[in-house]
Amino acid sequence: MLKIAKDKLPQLLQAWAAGARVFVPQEKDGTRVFLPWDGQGKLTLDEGNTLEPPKDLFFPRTETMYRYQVQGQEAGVTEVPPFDAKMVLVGVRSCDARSFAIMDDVFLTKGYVDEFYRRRRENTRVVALACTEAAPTCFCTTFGIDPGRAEGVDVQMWPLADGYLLEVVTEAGQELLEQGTGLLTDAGKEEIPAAAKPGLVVDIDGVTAKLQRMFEHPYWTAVSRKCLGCGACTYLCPTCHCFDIQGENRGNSGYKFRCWDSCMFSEYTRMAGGHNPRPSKKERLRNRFLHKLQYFPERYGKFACVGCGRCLDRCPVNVDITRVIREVKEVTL
Amino acid sequence: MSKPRVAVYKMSSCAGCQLEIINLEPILLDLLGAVDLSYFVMARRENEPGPYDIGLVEGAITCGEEIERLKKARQECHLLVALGSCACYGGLPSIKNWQPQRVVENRVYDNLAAIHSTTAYGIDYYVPVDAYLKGCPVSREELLDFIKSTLLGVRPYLRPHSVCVECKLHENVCLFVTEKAICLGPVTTAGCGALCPSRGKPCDGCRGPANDANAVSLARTMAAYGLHSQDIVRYFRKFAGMTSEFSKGAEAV
Repeated sequence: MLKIAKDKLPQLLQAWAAGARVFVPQEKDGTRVFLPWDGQGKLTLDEGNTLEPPKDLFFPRTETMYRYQVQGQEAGVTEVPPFDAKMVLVGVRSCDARSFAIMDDVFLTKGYVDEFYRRRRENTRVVALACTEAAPTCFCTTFGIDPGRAEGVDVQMWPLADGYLLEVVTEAGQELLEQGTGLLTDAGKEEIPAAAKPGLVVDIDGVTAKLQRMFEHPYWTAVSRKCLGCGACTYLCPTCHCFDIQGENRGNSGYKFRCWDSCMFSEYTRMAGGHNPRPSKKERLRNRFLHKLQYFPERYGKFACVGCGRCLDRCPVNVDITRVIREVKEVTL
Repeated sequence: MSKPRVAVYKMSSCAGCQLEIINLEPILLDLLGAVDLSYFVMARRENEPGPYDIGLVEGAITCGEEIERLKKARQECHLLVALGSCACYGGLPSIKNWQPQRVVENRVYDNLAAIHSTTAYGIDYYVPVDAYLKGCPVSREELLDFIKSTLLGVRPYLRPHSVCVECKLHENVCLFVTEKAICLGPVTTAGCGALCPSRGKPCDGCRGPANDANAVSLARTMAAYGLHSQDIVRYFRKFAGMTSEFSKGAEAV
């Protein structure tokens, strides 16, 4: 176990930034977001989780897939050079670390590997930060996530009053900490601080089985009545991963790109002929909850919610997934 | 093959949407290489008669004479497009629709003898419309995308979802949730690139209702934020009060 003093942390980030792009929560417009470390920003590691999840580092909002050009009767496609920069992601909370495992399931398993995602994911080292305080909207323990220790990361950090404890988890993490020689000291008798205890806990036992019988239930009409369909929940969700593919053309050349989409929008499911299998907000909102709590567990054996609380914190009309889970369990069939 | 011919008509409007066509300046010459602006009174001294391939109609319909001109435009254009929120829904001129005609006219004109105004409607109240380019003024990018797609013979991508989407893509801090500012973004059609919220100003709803806009729920939240019911009415009637979606918002509280 190693320790770094709070005022030495920027130097450690600087050391990592020499060989990689370092992303760390910093202040921007009064909120906290993962930004590239340039030595100037104001770190917000001790102020709770970021407003936006770090998923866009692996799955950018928009990403060019290939370019094409036409000359006379000839047409050609130019591949986009593969992403090969190294990244270090610092200050990832346990909930967001779980979301990486969920995104991996989507993009890397079941017979298809998404190369765009894989290159970014494999080039990234993750340094997690344990939570010692929970926000009122946190409910990660509901999904068996330990706020005090993240899964699938390279280095685990814990906050102390005057610094951070660091523990190596993987070989790649070992290499990272070797770059900090001189800044890190032995932790000695420092104790790992107690993990946060989120007050919001939901009982999810049997919710998947219940939902399997609720597809046609009038409950969805009731819950969708106040939804604005703005899609804020899907953009802020660390596990939402739907995208659309569009093209941009000028003259004889152009490019195809993919961009985030959302199941909360009608055009997401609208067919070329105009038919829409999810014609109203009811079907779309239902899909969002069923995907997180029924379809994903059926396909991958885990819930696609990590209890980060961003959607319930930021919904303009307070559609609350924890309340939906509770109400679903109370519905009589 | 001759170039497609485009006509631009003006009804009751401020001419700001037509100005946006001229404001395409950096690529205007490219555009003129692809289409002929055959009828465009604001920009041409001499205009050519129809028929035209694309007709862009700006402005709301507020008097009988405009109904006549609109029907003629429909006859001479293969595609008829509502250019801007006035042509789409009645826009700003439709604010007058909730007061008696004579009261409104009296406030503006000295001599009412020559004034024969009617309720302000979007153009689709009178004629079939092929496409709606929303906004006050229209978005240049969307206008250009529409013309490009039409030339390519593909369906233009006119965004049906809310302004929130573009705000999220710009990584803006939410004015509505974070700063409790009254923002119509959640119910307003995207396509402007979240122009106002990206500059710290809440959305005024100038592009009219998004697909499946839930104005009732938004109006209730606005009331919960402490906005007076009369102000909620003003918000929803500013640009698109004639639409069924926004009128539900105006009547919700």
